[in-house]
Amino acid sequence: MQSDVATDAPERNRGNTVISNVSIRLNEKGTEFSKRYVGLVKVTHSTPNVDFYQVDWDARPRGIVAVEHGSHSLVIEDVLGVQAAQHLTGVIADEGMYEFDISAGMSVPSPSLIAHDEARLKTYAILQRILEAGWVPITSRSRPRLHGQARLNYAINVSNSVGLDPRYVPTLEEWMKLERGTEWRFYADHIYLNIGFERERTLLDPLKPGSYLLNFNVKSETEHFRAYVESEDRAKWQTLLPATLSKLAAMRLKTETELRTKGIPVDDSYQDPPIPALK
Amino acid sequence: MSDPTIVEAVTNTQANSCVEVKCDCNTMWSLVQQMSYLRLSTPTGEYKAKLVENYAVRARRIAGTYARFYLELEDGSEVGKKGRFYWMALGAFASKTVACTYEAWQVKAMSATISKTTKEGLGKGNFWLFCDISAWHWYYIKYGNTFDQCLDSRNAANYVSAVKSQMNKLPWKTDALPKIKQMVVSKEIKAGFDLVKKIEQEGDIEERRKLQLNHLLAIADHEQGVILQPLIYNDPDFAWWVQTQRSAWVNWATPNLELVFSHACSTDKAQYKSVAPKDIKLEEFDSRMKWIGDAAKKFHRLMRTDTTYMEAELRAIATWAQLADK
Repeated sequence: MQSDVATDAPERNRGNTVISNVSIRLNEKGTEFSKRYVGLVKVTHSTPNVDFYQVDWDARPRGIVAVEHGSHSLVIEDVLGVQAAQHLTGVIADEGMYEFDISAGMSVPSPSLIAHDEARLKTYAILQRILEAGWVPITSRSRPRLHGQARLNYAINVSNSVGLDPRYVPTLEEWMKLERGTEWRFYADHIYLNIGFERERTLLDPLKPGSYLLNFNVKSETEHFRAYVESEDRAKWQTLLPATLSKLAAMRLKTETELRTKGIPVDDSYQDPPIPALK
Repeated sequence: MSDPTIVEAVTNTQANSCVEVKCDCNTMWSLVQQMSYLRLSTPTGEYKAKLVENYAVRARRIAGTYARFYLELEDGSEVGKKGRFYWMALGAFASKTVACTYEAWQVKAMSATISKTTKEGLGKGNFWLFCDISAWHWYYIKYGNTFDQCLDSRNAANYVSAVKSQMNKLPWKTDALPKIKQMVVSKEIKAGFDLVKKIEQEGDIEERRKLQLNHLLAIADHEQGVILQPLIYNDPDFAWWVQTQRSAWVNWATPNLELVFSHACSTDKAQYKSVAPKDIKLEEFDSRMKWIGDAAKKFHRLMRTDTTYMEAELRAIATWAQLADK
């Protein structure tokens, strides 16, 4: 991963030429995205209300995806696929593609085997570059504010939903104890980024090669907060948000109080990202 | 070994007399296993039933049952806990696709071009996956207070004699039961049901959704790696599988079929063909994980953002649980 953006002039997939560089912009309309990469984007009419826009690099060389976000822009390499939904009905249709999922390998030759220790170091090198691009590590609002090894220990021993501190590099032994799907979460200027990993379940011997996949999820601030309410309440998320935030804060406080009594350091300096102005 | 389900007692003249029966884990697993094959049977008299013969009807009954588990409509379900059996919602769409495939083959008289191995393989996978996965769920909702105690004990070879003799009449049983290890517990099932408990307790809606996705992936790992792979994917005679194996990891319980999130069968004939891109390198581990994750993420996104539509489709599928045989 690099922290600059590749050029994204309209490109056409002619004959056997494979386009490998794609840029994504949150809230762009699916149809516009399709137009920028004619012949590359696959559109699936999944339900009467939702279309999926997808780019897959099934063979090598794989894709290079630029996530456009001003000074926080990121480039993700060895990408196997990008997926986003576009709603077709209701006001949400105007939000375009408000959330992207990007799957990336670890830039290793076929069949994608990598030493577990190398995977650990590569992952944390990527996380370091994200930090350098100005993304701030965050914690779910219902989870205790922990950092460093305390957060990792909590993720391993209590619940991995607390996520991990990208500034604390675990040992190989700790790395192997992490459950697949454990996440690092970031925020930068009204956009949220979650990164999780998949680990091939049949290759878990730390002394033998394994295989990994990194899942990047990028979403708009609106969708981030809209996801705080039940699915059937999405249309009225702004009304429900204040009460929901209070509930999440109470959950955090309860856990933090319990942890303090056990002598586990809580990071009081941590501040949640700003709450959007509600209508 | 004595059979604890057979108890002798002296009759008397007192109404509603009871005799105590002590059920061990084998008995409990036998009870719930019985529910799976009864769901796929038509009653023919007192204590008599006949297994549904039509493969498409079986697949529709299976889809209906999966949808009922998700929607919390089964005996023992709790409506307030809807969402905990998240894999079941995806399983419903997958088994519906199996049914649609059989129906398309029948209607279009394509049977001649589809090998017997393919037809049998698809039917066998769907049937035995149902026998396996439904019983874990039925046990959990009906006898939850002993679920943990009996989790490690499930073994079809140890069922009580009445259920064992019925199991011996089920199709493909000689081939299937050893390959799926008599349906003993896997680490993936343990992880999947551990997540069900966490889903039930989670107060943060967004964290709950993450748990649902992780539960779905754990059960999918079990389904793919512990049941379908040894049962049909590894069959050396499964020529169809060998030809289309590239798509197997893409499509859950429906190995070479595209999953359509609707109760209706797609009118697009292309869906009944292999849908994996030609160049896909599924011998690469990360590609495999990516394809599995893609299907899960698409489903997960729709369940979050198009919930009304998805649940309406599941309610339509749920009505098929007792569909008449053809």
